Amino acid sequence: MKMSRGLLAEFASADALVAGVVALESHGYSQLETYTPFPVPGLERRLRLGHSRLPLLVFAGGVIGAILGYGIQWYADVRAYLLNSGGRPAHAVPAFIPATFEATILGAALTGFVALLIALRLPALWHPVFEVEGFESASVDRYWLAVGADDRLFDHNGTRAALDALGPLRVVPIPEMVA
Amino acid sequence: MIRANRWRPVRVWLAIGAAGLVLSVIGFVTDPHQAYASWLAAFAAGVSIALGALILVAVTHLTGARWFDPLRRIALDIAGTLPLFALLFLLLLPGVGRLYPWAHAPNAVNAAYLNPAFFVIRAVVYFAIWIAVGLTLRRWALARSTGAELPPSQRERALAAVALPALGLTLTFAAFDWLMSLTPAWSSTIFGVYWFAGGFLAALALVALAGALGPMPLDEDRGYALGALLLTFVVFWAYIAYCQYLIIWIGDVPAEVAWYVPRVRGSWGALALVLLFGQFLLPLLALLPHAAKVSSRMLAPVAAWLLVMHYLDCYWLVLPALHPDAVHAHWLDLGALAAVAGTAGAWATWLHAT
Amino acid sequence: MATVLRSKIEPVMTQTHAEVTRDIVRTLETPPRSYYLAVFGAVFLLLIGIVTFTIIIKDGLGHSGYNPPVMWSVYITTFVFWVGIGHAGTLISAILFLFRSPWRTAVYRVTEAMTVFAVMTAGLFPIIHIGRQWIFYWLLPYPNQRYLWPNFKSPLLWDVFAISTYLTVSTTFLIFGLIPDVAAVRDKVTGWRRFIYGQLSMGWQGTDNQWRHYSRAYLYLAALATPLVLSVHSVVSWDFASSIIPGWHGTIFAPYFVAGAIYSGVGMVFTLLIPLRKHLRLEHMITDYHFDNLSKLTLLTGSILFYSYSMEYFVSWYSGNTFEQTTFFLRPFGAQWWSGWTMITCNALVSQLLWFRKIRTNLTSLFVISIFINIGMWFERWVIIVSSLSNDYVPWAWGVLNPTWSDWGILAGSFGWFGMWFLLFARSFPIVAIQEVKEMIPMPRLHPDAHGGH
Repeated sequence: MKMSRGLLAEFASADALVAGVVALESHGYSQLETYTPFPVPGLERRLRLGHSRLPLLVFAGGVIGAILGYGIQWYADVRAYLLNSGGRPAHAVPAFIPATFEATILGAALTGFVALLIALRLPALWHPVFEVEGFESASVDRYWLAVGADDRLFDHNGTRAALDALGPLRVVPIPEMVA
Repeated sequence: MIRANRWRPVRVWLAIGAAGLVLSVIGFVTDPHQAYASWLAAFAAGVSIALGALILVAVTHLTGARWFDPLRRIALDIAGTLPLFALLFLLLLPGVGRLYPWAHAPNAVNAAYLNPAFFVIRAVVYFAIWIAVGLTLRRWALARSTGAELPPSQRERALAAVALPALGLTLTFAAFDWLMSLTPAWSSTIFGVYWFAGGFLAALALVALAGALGPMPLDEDRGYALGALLLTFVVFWAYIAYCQYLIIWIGDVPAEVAWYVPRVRGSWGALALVLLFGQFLLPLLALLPHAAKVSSRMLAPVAAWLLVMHYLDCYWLVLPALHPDAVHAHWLDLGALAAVAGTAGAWATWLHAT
Repeated sequence: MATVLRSKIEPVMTQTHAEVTRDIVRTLETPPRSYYLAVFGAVFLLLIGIVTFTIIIKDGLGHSGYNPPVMWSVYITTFVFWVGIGHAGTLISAILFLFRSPWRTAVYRVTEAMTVFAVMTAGLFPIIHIGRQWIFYWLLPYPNQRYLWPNFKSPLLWDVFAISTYLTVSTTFLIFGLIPDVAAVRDKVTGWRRFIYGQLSMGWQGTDNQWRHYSRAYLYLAALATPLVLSVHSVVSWDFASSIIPGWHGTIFAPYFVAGAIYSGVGMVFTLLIPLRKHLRLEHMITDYHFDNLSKLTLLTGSILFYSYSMEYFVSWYSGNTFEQTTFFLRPFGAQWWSGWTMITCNALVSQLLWFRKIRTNLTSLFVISIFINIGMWFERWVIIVSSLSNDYVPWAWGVLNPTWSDWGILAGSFGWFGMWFLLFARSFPIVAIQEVKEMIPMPRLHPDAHGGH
């Protein structure tokens, strides 16, 4: 058998998965990954994931959108093409607000979407776990836990025993990338 | 058991209120134009908060907001000051002729609506509805609760549903009567919503402030819900204010801009900018981060600030009718504010203590 | 748990996770003949619209009923109608998400799809309505050899920004919500369909890191979509309110239009959802509970409309402005009194029926009411636009507008265009949010009393 990229354990319930994560982390494992059909409350803290930079990026996107939006209007109507519209001032602040607002939202939303795809490493049209027989259940009603082969403590037989001790439905190796 | 320290806040508020009342009464005699205008500004700010609290109770009854259960008592006590505001309104009545130009214009186009007799009749109707709804909701809530933690009963929810349209309409017409008719030739269909937006925001702020300073500080869920609502209504108030300003600014019809001209020029314009920053941009930025919403220590100062802004907002609505040229800060402004805030504070803390 | 909209009729969550996936993936199987007939009907209507539009491009807008002083009519009415339809979708998917209302879960995908397709439809109308459709891109601000720039003091230009932003953001929101669900479909189907859904899911794996960012980003998108939805219909309302035409120049127009938009949108949700849930056999997922809550939303927004109508009539009298008074008198008592009464009856009055729970939970009555809402809201815009323009300041210049075949052809085409996209979507993508429905099902617990407080 080829070198595997790690081991996958399939659990029947979210609680079993969370318990498994807690147990393995107490053993000292760090390269853990879970695959669940929906966000499981509590996992985030257990896996010690850091703070998200998303809010700052979204905010910055909004600010840039606002500046660009207002800037275009100012340039068009004050600098490039003065148009007397019913005697209103060329630099008509109240009238520039709606389009500025729309540009703010557009900037923030698009930044958020792109930043999210980058953070999620998507699109990723192939992933080793997809090669595992029966992994489809991860989007239905099964909860999977992966231990990466790059983990300091990873040892095929030892880790397998540790996973077996958690009472999973089964434990399978993640196949190495096919050349 | 009545312990002495329970009544201390009531006495402090009462002292402030009494001092304010004395000052205001002196003003009613010596400088009635200024005194009634100052009184109206403080009264409008206060009664809109009490109404906002009542609407907040009714809305949370209907949406079944469980996070609000521990705060409901605070909101009910604020709404419970409505009978007091009926009394404070009585003090305004001798000033109707001085405040409102329509009192001396029996042939104006809308004289069938704007005349002293009908003005008083309508106010009686408004207060009757408000007091009936407020006291009934409060009595029913206290009747069922050993703690305030219980969700509302079926009859409370039913009353809330039926009362909301009535509250909305009476609030609107009260805004037309008391504030919009200061300039009788001017009208704006959104004016009632504007006054509601400010009052509801201030009511939320007062509930948040009282909740944060109370014996049981806000937990994360309640803080977040209040913070998010404050943020929402900061934006809502600005949205409504902008809707009115934009349409009148861009239409530029003389009869319509006449109301804005004194309010956006000179020192009144500076006050308008203070409102733009103080009631919109600054609280918006302050409330955006998640951390600001969940902590009482952050919410309390923002809420207190918003209360000040709401008073300034009502001041900006009323006083330019008296001083169209510039802001004339007057000791009677403080007197009226102390009278309204002091008596209302005493009333609410007294309700809270019993 | 923050604000939770509760109802006496609670949802019954007796299904397992596997059953949820099964029932929703089942809706993507080979459809019955009735579905093809519906798609054919929609395409037929669309063809009518395309033929009409072709003739308009060839000959010009003279075919439409435009007649001074009424130069805005059915196209603008229908534009506002479709933009408004979209708003309920954003309200349900974004605003109710922020308020954590549990009842939105089963219905929000339908409404979100409705939003995207309704805005796609609406976006065509300004282009149809301008005389020279082939240079519509002149509306965009870009450096050009004409040395011309658009006038940002015009609300028509704000519309360009509002509608395009709205379409972009609501499409992003829809796609975004679909990613995990498409991945769930991918894992259930085989062959070429598996390949397609696999590509569309972008390789979603459901790792904890993905869920964490996903939930966060969803919250931000919802928070951005909420003010956006307010702004879009406000801008649409300012197309009218920023002029000084009597009947248009009302400060309350923005919130009034937003409420009307949501009212009309929820009406359309009923019209679409009641047959759809039967057709897709989702009666156990979309229940009385959802319809009851949707009805309350309709009652709320319908009552706000009632309020706005009352304000308009009262203030027009109070202001003493003869022109306003004439306009508002002529709405119910002028040449087009029937349209004025249709608007008042279908919106302000019919919505009040929803005070009764019996009506709120009876699908037949709801469906009938929803048709009234659709008609009433189309007529509301018709009344606002046409009756106000008909009776301007100078009675000498008054005039009445009569729509022509080209107006009706384009209107029919718009329903075809919307219907075609919606029907295609309903059978190609999960119409109920699989992942969020699963989140609401109490999970099988390892320790029965280990119930985390959240």
